[in-house]
Amino acid sequence: MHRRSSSSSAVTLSLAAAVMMLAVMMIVLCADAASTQAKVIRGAAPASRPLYRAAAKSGSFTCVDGSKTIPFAAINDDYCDCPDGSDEPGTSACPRGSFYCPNKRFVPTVLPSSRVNDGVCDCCDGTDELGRKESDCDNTCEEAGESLRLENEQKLLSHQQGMRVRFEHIKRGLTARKERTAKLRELKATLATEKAEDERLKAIKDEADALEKPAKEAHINAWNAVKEARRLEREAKKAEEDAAAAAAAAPEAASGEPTATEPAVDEKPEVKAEPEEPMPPFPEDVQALIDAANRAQTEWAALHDRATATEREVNALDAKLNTDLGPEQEFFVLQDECFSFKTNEYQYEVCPFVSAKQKQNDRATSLGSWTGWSGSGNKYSQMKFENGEKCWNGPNRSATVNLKCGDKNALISVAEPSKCEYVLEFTSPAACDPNFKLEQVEDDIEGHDEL
Amino acid sequence: MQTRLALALVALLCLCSTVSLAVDRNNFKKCDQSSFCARNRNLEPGNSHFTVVSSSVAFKDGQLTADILNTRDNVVLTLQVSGIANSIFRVKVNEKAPRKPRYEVKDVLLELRETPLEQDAAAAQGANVITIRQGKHAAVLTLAPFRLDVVTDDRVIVTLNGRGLMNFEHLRDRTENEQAGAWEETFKTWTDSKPNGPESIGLDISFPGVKHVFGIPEHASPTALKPTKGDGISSDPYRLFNLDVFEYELDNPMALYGSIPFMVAHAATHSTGVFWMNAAETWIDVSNAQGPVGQDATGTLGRLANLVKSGLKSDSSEPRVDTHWISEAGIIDLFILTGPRVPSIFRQYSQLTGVPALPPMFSIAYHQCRWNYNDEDDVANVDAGFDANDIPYDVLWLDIEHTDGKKYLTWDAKKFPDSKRMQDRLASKGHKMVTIVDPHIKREANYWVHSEAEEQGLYVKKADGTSDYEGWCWPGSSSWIDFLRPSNRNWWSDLFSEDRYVGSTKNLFIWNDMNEPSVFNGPEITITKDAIHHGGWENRHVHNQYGFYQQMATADGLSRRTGYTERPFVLTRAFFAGSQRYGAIWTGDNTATWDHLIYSTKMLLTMNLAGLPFAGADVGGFFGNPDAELLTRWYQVGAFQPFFRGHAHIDTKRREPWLFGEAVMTNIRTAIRARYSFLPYWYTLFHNAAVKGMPIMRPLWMEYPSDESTFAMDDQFLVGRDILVKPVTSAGATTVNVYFPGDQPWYNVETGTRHSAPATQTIPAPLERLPVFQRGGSIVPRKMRVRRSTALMTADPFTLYVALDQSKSASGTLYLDDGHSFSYTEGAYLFRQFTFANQVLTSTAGVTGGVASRPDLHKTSEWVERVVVYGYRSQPTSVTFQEGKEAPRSLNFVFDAALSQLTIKKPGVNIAHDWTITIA
Repeated sequence: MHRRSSSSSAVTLSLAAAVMMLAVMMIVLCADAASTQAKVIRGAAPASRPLYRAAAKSGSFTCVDGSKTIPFAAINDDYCDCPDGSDEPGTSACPRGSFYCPNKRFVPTVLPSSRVNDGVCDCCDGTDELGRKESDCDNTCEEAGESLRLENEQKLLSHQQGMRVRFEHIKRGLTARKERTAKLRELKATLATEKAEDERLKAIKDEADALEKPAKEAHINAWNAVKEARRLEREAKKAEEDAAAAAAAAPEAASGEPTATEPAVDEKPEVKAEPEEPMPPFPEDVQALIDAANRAQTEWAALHDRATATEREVNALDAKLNTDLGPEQEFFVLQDECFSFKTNEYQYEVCPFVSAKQKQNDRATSLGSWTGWSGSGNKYSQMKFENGEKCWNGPNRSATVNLKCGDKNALISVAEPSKCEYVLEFTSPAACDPNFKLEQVEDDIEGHDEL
Repeated sequence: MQTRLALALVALLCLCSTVSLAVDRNNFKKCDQSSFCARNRNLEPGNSHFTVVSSSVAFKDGQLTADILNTRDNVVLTLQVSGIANSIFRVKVNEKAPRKPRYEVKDVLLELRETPLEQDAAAAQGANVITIRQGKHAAVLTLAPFRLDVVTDDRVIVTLNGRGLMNFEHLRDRTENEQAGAWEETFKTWTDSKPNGPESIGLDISFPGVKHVFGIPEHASPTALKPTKGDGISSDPYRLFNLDVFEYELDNPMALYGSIPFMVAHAATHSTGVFWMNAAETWIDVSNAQGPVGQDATGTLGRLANLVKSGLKSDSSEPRVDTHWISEAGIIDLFILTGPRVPSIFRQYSQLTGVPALPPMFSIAYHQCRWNYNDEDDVANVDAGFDANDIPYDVLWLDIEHTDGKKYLTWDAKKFPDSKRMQDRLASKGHKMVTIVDPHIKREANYWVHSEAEEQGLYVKKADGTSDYEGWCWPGSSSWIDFLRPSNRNWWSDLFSEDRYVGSTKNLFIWNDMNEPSVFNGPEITITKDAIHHGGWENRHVHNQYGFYQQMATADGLSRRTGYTERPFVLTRAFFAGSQRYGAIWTGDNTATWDHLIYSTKMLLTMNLAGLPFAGADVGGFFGNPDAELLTRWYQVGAFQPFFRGHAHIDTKRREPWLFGEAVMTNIRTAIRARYSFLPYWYTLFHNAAVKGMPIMRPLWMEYPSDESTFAMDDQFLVGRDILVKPVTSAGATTVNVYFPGDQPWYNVETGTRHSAPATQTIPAPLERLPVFQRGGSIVPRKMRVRRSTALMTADPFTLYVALDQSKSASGTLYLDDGHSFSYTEGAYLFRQFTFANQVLTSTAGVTGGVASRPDLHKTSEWVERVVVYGYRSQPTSVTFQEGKEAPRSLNFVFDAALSQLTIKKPGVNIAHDWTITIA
């Protein structure tokens, strides 16, 4: 549940946050920043400074949205004149305004005007609080910059490693795709051949069947006729014997006493009890036809099985080739793999492009089947699994897997922000952004300063 | 928070295999399933067998006492009629010599200032009618049968036992032939042992001259109480019995989580209140009638007419509301609040049970809650979400899952390894936290709270009076702290010190849930009636006070941890009369439907009319998933209701404001920011409530008491006197019909558009904004700067919104203090009075209730950045500011002729100062 708890970059991140926090409590005023204050349009971003310079010259300022023209003195006078907030870059007067912290030795940041003069040191250089009489923000940019540098080094290292692996992933992916495509072509050719052969053998089989069937049937029918005649003969004979026996037994029967010699009830005097005579073998010419038909059947069946297997192989390969493995096939290595992550209670398993599961002891609960990439912006930043097992009195389970750059393919966290909607984090070299850029710490050189 | 989870738990543990687990209507009694209710409800009117013993009537120390004889079984009762300051009558009836004492409600009443009554000299000895007076108000006692009429301004405003439904079941020995249910009663699988047998009381109370009565929360019912009896009406009476009702139904008199047996009757001519001080299960019938009450209309009323100065109004076509109050136990202890104006009702009621506590500023801002924020990361992410979207919020809440196994006052160490650091991080931006602490204690050997409670014998006992009562709630097997015992409350209060509540900080506040109390395997999901509390009282006698006592002890604990320097904040679900002194309530587990949004206003108006204004409903609805439109509309309404908290059930989808896309986020943000901009006005209203007991959220009739069209109106409301709110409560609405009361214009607070009154108008209601209007004649102070929390607004400037009436004048007030400590009780506050007349806006020190203001004790840097005048019609030539003897200076201004709106830029004066702005 504790996201990033195992990653070293997270440690630096939270250190940086802690440094920022500490700044709130330190009571050292930044004299440097305060002394330059008078010359500067506080809170104005470098890009907009020319506007204010021009206004200083002309004595009037037109709101950036063009809605109004106001005297230069109304800029940063702690009263909102422009609906777009452009007259108050350095105060909290405009709800839509924004404040630029130069944060020398760190990274410039832009804050909503709600952060200005509210008693919380949001900029590491403390400039957001300089409008307060009792501003007590320490300048922590040096430390923050140092943390960021360290963090950047880590990030860069991790990114570089990730990119190296990613490159391998791509190579494997592209090779695999080439191989798969070739293989598919080959298989399809094989399949075509096999299908043709299938048809041919099937025709032979059918022909053999057609010859075999009537011959075989004629022989069987003849034998059946013989059998029937014999049966009728047996029955007639039996009837005669029965009649004779009845006539002989009649006086005894009149005495009303059953005799001890009377046959037991279960002795069935059945004619059919006689063992059936086997059918005489097929004549040679018929047997030859049968053998031929059997041969044709075996031959065709073997080929047909082969063709079916090939077709299955073609479909599977086709499906794999149709799976979106990224523009550079960088996600190829995730195919056919599963990744798991253990929490105190459960083990989670994600098989990309297939399914996600939650396991406890021997029981696995489906969190959903692959429905595709779902990142907003970069769609490859998120995987979606839907229609998992239904929650009791709730929705069907679903899982969202967020990807981020890392040097290994691994699940690193699981959360359940809403009941039965799982959010997992997954690091992958494949998710590393080739256009990755680090936030650069502002160096000490003042290239663009102040009014 | 009652859930299937809990029910499943019960089911799994096979604790009560025969109990139906579906929590529905069948789990709760109807009147005919509660034998005392049925016995009383079946009484025939006009047969009263209670007679005042003429010879026993005594008048001493300004009080009347007498014996009342129950002529049916010759049991003697005592009657006591006394006067409380500010025109309140108290009527108390008890057994004269009960076999054992009957329960009398404790700790609810403040120390009362009695006013001696005067006996009317005109009443001759031996007369059937005796009149006693308090100023212009008279209580007219008819001896046989017993009846009491309260007369004010030549009008009978209240009649007791006029219909003869009074009942008083005396304590007795069990005999052979008892009525079924009198000594033992079974509901579903539970049998109530009733060791004292029948002991119910009942009384009819009529309100001549009115058509509408209000109050007696908590019910999901219209604000103007619908009749439960009468032609073609067949409903159960309104029930007061604190219960945890799963997925409660709307438009239903069923009992809910809290009880305040206080009713207000209102007519164009007068307002009256009655407070039935009884903590047992209570049922109240309401019916409409006409003409004078009782069989003896000419007799009694004829005599009444002679007793009051001029002719008594007793028109036979006059409307009347009859009510019938039935309680299972206790005594009749009734307070009659004579009004006659609306504000006097609330002054009188708060004189009895106390004014609402002045809440800390953060607690009247926005609260973000969910069952549950899962861990410290989750908390950090939600906090970051508010910051990223620049949405203000003050408090983040943690529901039951934050604990180690539902053991309150502990933390799940895996999810919350460093709860102090978490709270400190939130506090660095002015945010607070609230954790839940329920009254059921897990019976687990090594849980320190349980060990102490068990060893020290702090639990409610079973019917045997000696062994601990046990039942099931969130943690499984649990027992309940007996909050009725003062020493137990003292122990409980101490739990909230930082060294006892490990992992807490002073920025942590408390939520008392499930304190009806909710017992999953108990009758009607609560504790058995024969369970024993402190003093040997059965739960039957004290039930409705249980949550009240828990909140009392919790609030005291939070004050205590700062040495009584910082104000507490405690939210409770169960409540009783007097709970207003300890914090806020919410309407429990509502549902994400438009109907529930509609009922939130009805229910909260009722809470306000019952003296407990700090009340809210879960924004968005607790159960179910609101769509973006419903959620947006709910935020817009919630932003104008006193307690403003978003909350959701654990099975629902996440619904933080930014999860529905940019447009929805923007609309919700607009609503929350509106709340923050109006906080100076809200805080002034909370101050006003804390000194005068005045409701904050008001039905229109409170301010327009003779406008009968508003009496039953509960689909729009006023915040204080000056802000009119029309909730939009249907899907796809683009317009709403708004009734503008009074005879002064109203101004849309977003657009400045003017609306004449009285009139009903169709108003555009785009999803972007809620129709909210400011009254012509008012001045409303606001803070327009966006911040992350109220703690970060303390230096921000004010904008004064001056809405002119037809005579081009307006006035308003502003209360200010440090927003968190008790120093205001020593005068460390400012009270500013603003008036606009003859083109001059004046700021002066105003006068309010409570300890006198000592501006030297409350220094502030807050200032006035802007004045907006609505309804200003001609282009001014100059605007001049003047403070004391300083030279006048002219101010910049912008005049919008189309909107008749004048905006004056930056007076730049400290809010504490006296000054004028003159427009020429």
